[in-house]
Amino acid sequence: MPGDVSVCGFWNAYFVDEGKGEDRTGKQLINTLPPAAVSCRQPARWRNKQECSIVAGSSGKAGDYGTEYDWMGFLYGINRPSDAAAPRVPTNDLWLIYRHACERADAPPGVPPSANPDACTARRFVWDATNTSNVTTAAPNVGGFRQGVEARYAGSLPTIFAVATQANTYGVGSDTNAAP
Amino acid sequence: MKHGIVFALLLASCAQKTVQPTPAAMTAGGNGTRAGAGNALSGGGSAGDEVSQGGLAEAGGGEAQPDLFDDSGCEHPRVIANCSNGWCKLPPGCFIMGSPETEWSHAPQEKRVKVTLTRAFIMAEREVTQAEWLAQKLPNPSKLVADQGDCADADCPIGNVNWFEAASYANLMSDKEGLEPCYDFKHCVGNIGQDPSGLVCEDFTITTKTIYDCNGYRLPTDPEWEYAARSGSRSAFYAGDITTRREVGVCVEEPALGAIAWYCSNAGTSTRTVGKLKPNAWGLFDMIGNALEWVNDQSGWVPTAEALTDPEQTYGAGQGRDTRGGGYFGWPGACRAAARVGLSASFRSPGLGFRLVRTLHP
Repeated sequence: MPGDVSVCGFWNAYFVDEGKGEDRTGKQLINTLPPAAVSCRQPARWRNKQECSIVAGSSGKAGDYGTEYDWMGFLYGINRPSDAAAPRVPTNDLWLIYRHACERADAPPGVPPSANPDACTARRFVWDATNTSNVTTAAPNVGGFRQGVEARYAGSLPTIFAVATQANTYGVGSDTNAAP
Repeated sequence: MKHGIVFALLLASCAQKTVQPTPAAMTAGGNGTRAGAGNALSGGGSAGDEVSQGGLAEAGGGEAQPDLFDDSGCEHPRVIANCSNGWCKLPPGCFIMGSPETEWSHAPQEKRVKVTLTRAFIMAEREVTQAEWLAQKLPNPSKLVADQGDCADADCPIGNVNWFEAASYANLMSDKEGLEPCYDFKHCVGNIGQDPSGLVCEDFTITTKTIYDCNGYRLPTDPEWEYAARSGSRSAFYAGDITTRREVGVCVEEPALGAIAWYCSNAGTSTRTVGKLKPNAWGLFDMIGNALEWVNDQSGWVPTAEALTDPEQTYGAGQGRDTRGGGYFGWPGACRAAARVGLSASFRSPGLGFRLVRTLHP
């Protein structure tokens, strides 16, 4: 159901029962029953298109966090870019970013993760760890992918910039908050 | 049937659109030559000037689609370079911020909006240089990391500064000239320009009701930066449209950029001395490419109205701040005038600098 808070979330598995209706552009939604083939190459931007929001009832405001669909596309996109010349974030780096994000959000850039970091258990993992406006979990129990990327690739602004750009493209960056 | 009627009406509406200057008109006569050149906008135009904004199909090709954006009531002022002593004066006016969905690399937050800036302001003709930074008796954090980043010359842009340091530099400039500092930082650690992290603050406020009210130096808001960069153009770059279509991060030569920007195709592995390429029609150098530039605004806002007056996003959730211009490493999509990417305010990296603005009060 478009706009329903139940379709929004991150990293948790939400099963979407779309039903049939119109999205905000007036386009008829397609009733897709799982399993469904989806393209990881084309950003779904589910959050942006459906305006689903973590804050129930905040009409017209895009959600602050990408949906699972958006995040999966984003991670696939930076890990397996279709253009061989594009910057690639290998799987091991994704893991290091995750560790940086959850463990080292407040550490100076360039500080490597510890050898045996804690997992992100009991922590919320979002795009921006400092944007906790709609997360009930308070800092520092919030890990940010952006902070993780900035730490992991400290000194390589082009890579950080490319990942942040892709986050916008796929709709997982905080760069889709609606203005008041 | 219903859709057919709606489409016909939209087409009719499109035919009556307010005429806007073409990118070609902006670049004719010297691609941003100085005051008095023949590239100034008339503010009106003729029917023959109509441009299909963007006009580029999405990936996969296809025919250009008509642009149905309603720009009525938004008249751009005449663009004339009015620069002296390193500052260019920009008049108040209306412009279309953002990019059409058909523009290659368009991102959701680039949703177009009519923005009216009600106050004139001055913007630095060039990015803040290392010489200017050192003149404030600040340690120079610019550097190369793995042979990439900041060039080493007095006229190179200052780099490796975070948002707090950039805004603090603006305050220093205000103090120096007896103007009101615009930012008030709280709970800070570190010092401006000092490694490894520079100045980092937990919080800040602005000293006036809105950032536009401040009479001191400050970072440009997102709309101010884009108004300045576009200089009346509505194409992806102020010197023309984006013609290359490669994935994010892929460097490719873009015909419109070579004369105006140090970017991935011509810059090499670092920034370059400022002011060496052609300025835009306002007289501003390096608005695209060279140092990636911090701006005042919180990253992440998407316009929800069709028209905004003096919008600012100084405050908001989180500490992400927008950057603009694409940088020396920027691929064509990143160098578009509408492109903005948020980074953590405490983040600093070689190649990341800024330029200043100041509101002109009557």
